[in-house]
This record gives sequence, C-alpha cells and structure tokens, in this order.
Amino acid sequence: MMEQGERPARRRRRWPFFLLLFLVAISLFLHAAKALRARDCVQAHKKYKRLPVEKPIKETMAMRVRFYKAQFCLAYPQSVSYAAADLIRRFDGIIPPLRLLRVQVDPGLQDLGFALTVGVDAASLYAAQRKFAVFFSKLEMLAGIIEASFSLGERSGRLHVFLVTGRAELP
Amino acid sequence: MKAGKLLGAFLWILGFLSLLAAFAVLDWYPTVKELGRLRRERGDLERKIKDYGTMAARFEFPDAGEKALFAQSDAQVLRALPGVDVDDAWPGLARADLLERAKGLADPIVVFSKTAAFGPGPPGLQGWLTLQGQDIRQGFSVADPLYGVFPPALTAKGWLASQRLGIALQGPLPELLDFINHVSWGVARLEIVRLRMEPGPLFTRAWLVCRGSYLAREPSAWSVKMEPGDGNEGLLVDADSPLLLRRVDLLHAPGVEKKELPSAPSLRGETAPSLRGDTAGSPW
Repeated sequence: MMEQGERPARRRRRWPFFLLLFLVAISLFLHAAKALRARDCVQAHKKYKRLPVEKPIKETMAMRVRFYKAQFCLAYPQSVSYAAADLIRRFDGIIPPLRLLRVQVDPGLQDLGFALTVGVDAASLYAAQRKFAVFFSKLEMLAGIIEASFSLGERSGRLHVFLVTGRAELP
Repeated sequence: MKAGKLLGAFLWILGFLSLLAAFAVLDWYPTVKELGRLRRERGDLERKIKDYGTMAARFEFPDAGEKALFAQSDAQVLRALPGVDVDDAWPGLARADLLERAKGLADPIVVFSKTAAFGPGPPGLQGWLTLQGQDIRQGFSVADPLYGVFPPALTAKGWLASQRLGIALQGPLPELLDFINHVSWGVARLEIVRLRMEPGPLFTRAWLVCRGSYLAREPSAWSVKMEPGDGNEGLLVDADSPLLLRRVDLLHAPGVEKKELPSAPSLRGETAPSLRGDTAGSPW
C-alpha cells in the first residue's frame, strides 16, 4: 500500500526535472540550428570572395556608365536648345484661334517642363472652355508630350485665361 | 490544509513560468534573433552569387576598341570645355559668340551676366526686362552644372567653373526660334536653364538664362567643387541595365547633333511657323 502511494509522489518530484530537460533541449536545438546556419554563412562568404572577376566587372561597368554620361553631357546643350525651340514651334502651330500669352520652358536632365498661358476670347466661360478643350486635346496629341494639365486663370473682359503646365520628352 | 496545497501548486506554477520566461528572454529570443540575421545574411550572399553568375555569363569584357572609346570620350569632354585665363574672360567669350550668331536678327540682342543691370538694348525690350526682373533672377539661381560627368583627370588641366548668362531678344517668332536653336552651337556651349517668351506690341520677346562650363587657370568663386566620388548630379543611370554588360554601343549614346528646325509641316498636320517667314496670321 505504501509503495502504491509513493509512486505518484515520486512522479511529482521528477516532473520539474523533465521540464527543465525539455527547456534545455529546446535551447540546444536552437543553438545547433544557429551553428549550422553560421557555418552556411561562412561557406557562402568564402564562395562569394572566391568569385574571380567581380572587381574588373564593376570597374568596367562604372567606365561604361561614365562613357554614357559623358556622351549625354556632350549632346545635352544642343539637344535642349533644339527641343525647346521645336516645342514652342509646335505649340504655335496648334494655338490658333486662341492666343498664346506666355510660354516658359524649363529644361531638365531627362525632359522639358513647360508652362503656357493661353488667352481665349469668348463671351462666356462655357464658350471659352469649349474652345480651350479643342486646343488642349491637340496639345495632348502632340508627339513627345509626356503629361499636361490645366487650370483656369484670371478673366479680363472677354479674355479668359487658362494656365497649362506639363512635361515634354527631351529627344 | 487545502489552502496550503493550493498555495504550493501556485508557487510551482509561478516557479515554472519564471523558469520559462528566463529561458525565453535570456536564451531563446537572442538565439532566434541571431538565426533570423544569419538567414538574411545567407540569403543576401546567395542572391549576390546568383546575380553575379547571371551577370558574368552575359558580361562582355572590354576589348581594345572599347578602351580606346573610353579614352576618346574623356578627351572629347575636355576638348568641349573652353579654357580661359581668368573667370571674367568667360562672359566676354560667350557674348562675342552670341553676338556673332545674332547678326541675322533685326534688333540687337541684350546679353547680361548680372541681373542688377541688363545693359543697353532696344527700348521696348528694356522695359519688358525690367518687369521680368524677379523671374530672371530666379532663373539665375536654378540648376547646378553636370560636373559628375567630367573625368577625374580634369583637375590637372584646370579648374572647372560654371557661370550663368542672360540673353534677351525680340523679333519675328521664326527668327527667335532659329536663334534659340543655335544658342548652344558656339564655343561657349551654352545650356538653356530657363526660357520665356511673350508676344510684344510688334514682335515676340524672349529671355533666356543659360549656363556655361569652362576651364579656368585659377580657382575662383565660380569654380565647381569636385569632391572625390562625386557624381550624383541627378543623371539617371540604371546600374542594373543590361546595356552595361555589353560593350559600348554608339547607337545608344546620344551623339552631338546640330539640327535645324523643321521647315515643313509635320505628319500631324502642324503648321510650321518658320515656313511663314513672318508673324502674319500668328497669334504672337
């Protein structure tokens, strides 16, 4: 009878030990995984370092970048002056019967920013908007226009003013 | 008795939880964190090795022709820059160049390097420039030079410097557009920074703010600071572009092209003002 009563009590005394063992086992497992992964990393590092021609490739690529940049730099002034003049020429081609009150071109490295002030002679705002819409759709259709947007400016008598801003491609 | 048992069980649970927390905080969490870091590091290295393998398979090493092109390109950039003894000489050089180009214009052009005074010019143009003064000053303050493209050997040849120059002119639109197109063709290689045009009572009026780079003998306030490794001038170059794996292809490099404006209507049916020869019918 005594033995039967002692067994659960012994089991109760042992379970903290098993519990601790379980916690230690988890720790060991995690540390083993870390050691394996660290070894993998070291091997990958060694493999990466052994790559024979990485430096010359990078150097050549940097020289090619500089070459393309230099060619861009050499061509840039002529490219900008032609693009700016041609853009204004094309705006002038589509503006009648409206009036171009101001054109501003701000060349960037990759594109040309532009701002137009357009005057529309009309009795009402509705009529002015209809005339302007025709011009704006033509402008959007122009080759090389990347984006364009407009807003309504001030009105002076019959003259309704629209402000157009946008960007055009640099050839 | 029962309360004593309960207290004992509670203490056991508390002890167990404390032990679990101690393991988790002191050992498991740092180990899992380290595992994650190692996983990322290994992933990065494997990706680099894979990328390199792909890149190396397609990479074309430079041949003698390409090396000659690189050297030639550096020399071309150096040749493109005008050299001056003193900085004050550059505006004079650019002015002479512009005046030569403006000979065909009906009215003389106004060239100015300071926004405080625009210098003598046609009366209508003078008044307009005074009204535009603030915008012109703003134009003078924008944009830095493209110094990143200049070869490192440049400093041995002189001091890279950059100045702004303003130009104002009036005349029929086709003449103005023709002048604007030619503004960069001279020795000063002027880059347009800002251009504005407005119709005047008789002619169209325009002002341009241009930038010019040159080599000076001595450093000055106009000198461009070229720090080692500096090249971040805003030029977009895709470092992963497959173009860089192949030998330089001149078809992909924009050559210096001096093009005249079209003198015929385009395919879209636009009317080219340069055809008209005058401003008749133009809203300008």
